[in-house]
Amino acid sequence: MVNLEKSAGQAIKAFFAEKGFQRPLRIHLQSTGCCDPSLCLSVDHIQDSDLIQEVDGLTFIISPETHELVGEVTISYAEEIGRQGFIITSSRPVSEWEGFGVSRIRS
Amino acid sequence: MDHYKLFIDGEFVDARDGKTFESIDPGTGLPIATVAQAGKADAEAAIEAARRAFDNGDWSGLEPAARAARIYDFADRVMQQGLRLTVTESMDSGQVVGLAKFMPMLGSGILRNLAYYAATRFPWEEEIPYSGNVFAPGRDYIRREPVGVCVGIIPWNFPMSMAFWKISHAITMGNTIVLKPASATSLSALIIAECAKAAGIPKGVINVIAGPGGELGKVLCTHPYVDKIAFTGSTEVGREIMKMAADTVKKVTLELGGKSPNIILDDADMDLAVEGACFGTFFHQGQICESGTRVLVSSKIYDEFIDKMKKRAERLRVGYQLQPTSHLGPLVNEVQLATVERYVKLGKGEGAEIVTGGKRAEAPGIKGGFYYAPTIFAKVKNKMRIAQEEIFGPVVGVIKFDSDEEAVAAANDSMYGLGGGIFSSNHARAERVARGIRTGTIWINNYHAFGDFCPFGGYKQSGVGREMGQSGLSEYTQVKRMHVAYYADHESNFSMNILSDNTKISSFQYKCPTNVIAGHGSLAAIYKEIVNLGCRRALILTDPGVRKAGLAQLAKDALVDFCVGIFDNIAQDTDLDTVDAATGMARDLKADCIVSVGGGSVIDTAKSVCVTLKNGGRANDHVALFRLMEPQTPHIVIPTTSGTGSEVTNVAVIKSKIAGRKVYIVDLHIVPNTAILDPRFTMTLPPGLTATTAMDAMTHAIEALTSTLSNRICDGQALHAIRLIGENLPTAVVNGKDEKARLNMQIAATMAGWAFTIAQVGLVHAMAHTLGILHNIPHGTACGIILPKVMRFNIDHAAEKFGKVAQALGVDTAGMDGRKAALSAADAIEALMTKVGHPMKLRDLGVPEQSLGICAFHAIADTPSLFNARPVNDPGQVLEIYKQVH
Repeated sequence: MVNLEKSAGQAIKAFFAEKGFQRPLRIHLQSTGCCDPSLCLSVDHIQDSDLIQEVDGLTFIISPETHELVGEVTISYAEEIGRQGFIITSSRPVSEWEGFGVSRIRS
Repeated sequence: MDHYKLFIDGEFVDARDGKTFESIDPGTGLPIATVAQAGKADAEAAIEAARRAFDNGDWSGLEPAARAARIYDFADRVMQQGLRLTVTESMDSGQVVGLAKFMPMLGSGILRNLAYYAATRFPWEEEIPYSGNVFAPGRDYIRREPVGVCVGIIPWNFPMSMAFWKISHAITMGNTIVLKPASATSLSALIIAECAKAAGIPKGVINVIAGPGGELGKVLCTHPYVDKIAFTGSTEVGREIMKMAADTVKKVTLELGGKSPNIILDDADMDLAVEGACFGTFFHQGQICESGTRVLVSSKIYDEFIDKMKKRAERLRVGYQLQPTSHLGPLVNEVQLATVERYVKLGKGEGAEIVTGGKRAEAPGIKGGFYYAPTIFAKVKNKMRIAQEEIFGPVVGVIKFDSDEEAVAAANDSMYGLGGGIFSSNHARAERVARGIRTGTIWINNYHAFGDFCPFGGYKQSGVGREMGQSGLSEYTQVKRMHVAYYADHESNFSMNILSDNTKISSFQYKCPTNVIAGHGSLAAIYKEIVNLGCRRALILTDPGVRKAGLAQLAKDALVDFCVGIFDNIAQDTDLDTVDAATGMARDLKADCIVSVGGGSVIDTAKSVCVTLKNGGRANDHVALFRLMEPQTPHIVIPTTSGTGSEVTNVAVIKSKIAGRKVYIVDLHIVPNTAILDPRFTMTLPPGLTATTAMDAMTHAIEALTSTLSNRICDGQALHAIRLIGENLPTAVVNGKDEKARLNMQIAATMAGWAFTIAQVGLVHAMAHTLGILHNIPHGTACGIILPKVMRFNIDHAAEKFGKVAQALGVDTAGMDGRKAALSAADAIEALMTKVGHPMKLRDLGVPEQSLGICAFHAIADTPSLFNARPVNDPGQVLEIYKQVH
């Protein structure tokens, strides 16, 4: 369901360490305005119907509908000058721009 | 199925790696065409073609009118393909055919409109009449030139329309373009390319490459040959594009997301508001970035509105897009459908209440497709995610507000600022609300109304820059400012002289337009002169002393009915408040001419009044150097002193309480129109004032003669002024009624005025201004006291000229060496001052010694010091002079 790259795992743990808590992270569709939705991560509660996967001590949840739509999700992290954030791609891309932008965890 | 190829360098080609993809009809979910899929190599080829096409000048080098002729042909080809474009667009993007059928016409229209505007009205060149730099005169103007190679990246919601926007803007302004349409909807852009080729648009000017943004985006946004990027799409992608473009500092315009407010005020026409809210949200299935997806409704009409909007929404027909009866077509693909469903679920979770919709819809007779029912959420709070994030589907949140202020606050409580609507039957109220909203477009009693000449773009994270109209076209140009120096001579270049030991400016311009009427009884001429100036309502400006002496009345009687009033509240050192008061009186009396009767303070007040009366506002608005573009309110001067020279000069010196110093208006347009030198007006001047005002004139003459801007015309005027003062001042002091002496003194002051208005003054004036502002020392008195000392300070920088001063004052310099002759001039001045009883020491005027230090700092910062014969950079030197005269 989820491929978590090492850099992304470290970034997520750093995020929770800063927040002082750790909760499940939902992978879901979001719109950032004008066409082309993207996948993003949000701190959320588990719903009864969710698919759940534990990776490296972190809990990822996704709705069955979203999983069916996008397939396998890969989470990596970019740490370059001027480009820092999570890159979330899927085996069935949600848009032609998948992987181009970076996002932050929504809390 | 049709196969569409890439359009690169004037040819339709397959992708280099042979890849293709399918374009899907969202109404059925079935493919309708294959398209060549551009890769990195194709993107580079397109960019290189665009670069060659731009650089060879075949398009960029054409005059705008020549480009327009080609574009009109292009527009005609578009109309020829109108039906094909309509059907293709509808099938490819899901636009209902009732909407798509307008697109070719609108596209052809924008090509023609912008090309015509660029050919006839766009300001390709613009004169700068006033550069704002008085030290670098010349012709300054702007040229607007094409940017170069533009990349246009467009979304899938209005593919044809967006293609026309990007292409028309780019090529109209002489640029070339690489257009990347959205992969989901590439077909119409490629048909447009066919039209361009058929119209003979030169190869490489327009290039269209279809392919995934994720792969092509980096090439397009970072290639060094690309000069500008215009992107319409999501904020997340736009952000990345802006960052990538920053590395090579490309010009970027972005049109991104929105969550626009549509405000329904309590006085709105209800039927119009309901229709406007539905149209604002559900048009094109809500897949429009400026959609009014937050409907803010006044609590007074909320319940009625919700009920009516629900009923109206439920009458909208969702169906296959080519079905003429369909109001809404499908969403563009299943991901968009899933995204909308996700947000609807989220909205329910946040506590909003679904009034209607909230589920998929079925299109009659169609299996498949991505249809969603128009959905209304009530009980929405502005902080909810469904109110803050753009859903991009037929989903609206209705939010209640109580006051207009609350509506504005809610409208602005968004990271976006793209569009917005206000429905009200009160224009003034709607305008007030509109002005409080931070957004790029507001529609009042309408929505989604665009125009080729109406700029569109966002505030905040809705984007950067504008499209359409002059604002949009300007984004596709660069501004080049041209300066052609007035004097092609390094010794006349004030700025270059900073690096030179030679501070003397060699070239000059002589312009002294005042009509000078001099002689016994010359006052009578004013009756004719006011008519010559086209005036009928003169306001006399004067001071209390001159009025008491009856001189203002003389002028009033000479003007007969042309005089509408007298303003006499002008102090010895005038200030901006006085100018405002006099201007107020002039406005009340509808004066069309100012007649100043008095000394320098009165005349300078009058000059400022003329400017403020002509241009409006307050006196302080117009403190500037050479900024005026036209003649000011006419001004006739009758000097009552023989000193200021202000009757012929281009400067007004006014005290500014706020600045704590004197400020200047300097301009050829404030030179008085007429100066009447009638000796009767100076005969009542007491001996003391006769002497001190004469020293003002003497200082003008000597400083003009020796300044860094001195010139041979003004030298002659200055020397003769010095001679006249030397010969006539003692007589005028002893016998004020000697008309000949008085007239010669007036002429001397005027000639000195001509001299210094061109050649400027120097350190004496800088120091005298300071004493005036800090210690209220009369200007002429201060000048006289300081003049001999500054002459000695400057001696080695103007020895030859000082020698001539000495001769003009009657000193026999035969046999003297240059320096000695020069020093004798200063001695002669002091002798003259002693003879006429002029004060010699500042201490006698009450100037405290401990203030001299601060005086020195002020003086060195006063403008006239710039033109002093000897460079003045050290306040210590100025302090030393102050001490000498103290």
